[in-house]
Amino acid sequence: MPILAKLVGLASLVPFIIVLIKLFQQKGVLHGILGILCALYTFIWGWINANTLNI
Amino acid sequence: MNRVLFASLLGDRKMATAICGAALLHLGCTAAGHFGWSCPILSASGVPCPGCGLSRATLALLRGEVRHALTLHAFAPVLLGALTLLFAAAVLGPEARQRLSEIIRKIEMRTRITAWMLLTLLAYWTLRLALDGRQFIALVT
Repeated sequence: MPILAKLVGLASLVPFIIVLIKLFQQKGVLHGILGILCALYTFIWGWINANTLNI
Repeated sequence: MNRVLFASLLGDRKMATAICGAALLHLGCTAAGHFGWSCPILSASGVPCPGCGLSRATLALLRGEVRHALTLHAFAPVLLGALTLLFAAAVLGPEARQRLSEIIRKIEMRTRITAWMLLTLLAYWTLRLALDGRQFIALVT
C-alpha cells in the first residue's frame, strides 16, 4: 500500500504544479501559498474551476 | 497581498462542501489504516511539505491525544477549527452562511490573521526542517 500511495503522489505532482500556477495567476499570492501548504485545496479548486480554466 | 482568503472560502458553499468532503474522506481513510492521498511534494522530493503530518495530528487531537497531536503538527487545532467553520458553511442556509462569511471577512480585514497563520506555518516548517530535519521526516513519513 505505501508503494501505491507513493505512486499516486508522484503521478499527481505534474497536475499539482499546473493547477498551482493557475491558482497563483487567478486568485493571487495568498491563495497560491495556501495551495502549496495544502495540496488538497489546490486540486479541489482546480476540479471546481476546470471548465473555466481549460484544464 | 489580498487580506481575505478564508471568508471567500466560507462564502462559497460548493468549495466549502468539496473541501470538507475531501478532508473527511482523507481523515477517514487515514483513521481506518488505509492509505490516504499522499502528498505530491513528499512523494517527489522526500521532503515533507508544510502540511505533512496534519492529518494524523488532527486525528490524534480528535482522539484526545493532545500532546501527540502537537508533536506531530502544532497546527492541528487550527486545521480542526478551520474544518469546523467550513462544515458550518457547508450545512448552513444562504443567509447564515453569508453572515458567517462576513464576520470572518471583518476579522481577516482587521487582523490579517489568515496571512499571518500561513506565514507562521511556513516559519514553523522551516524551523522543524532546520533544527531536526531527520526526526521531522521520520515523524511524518
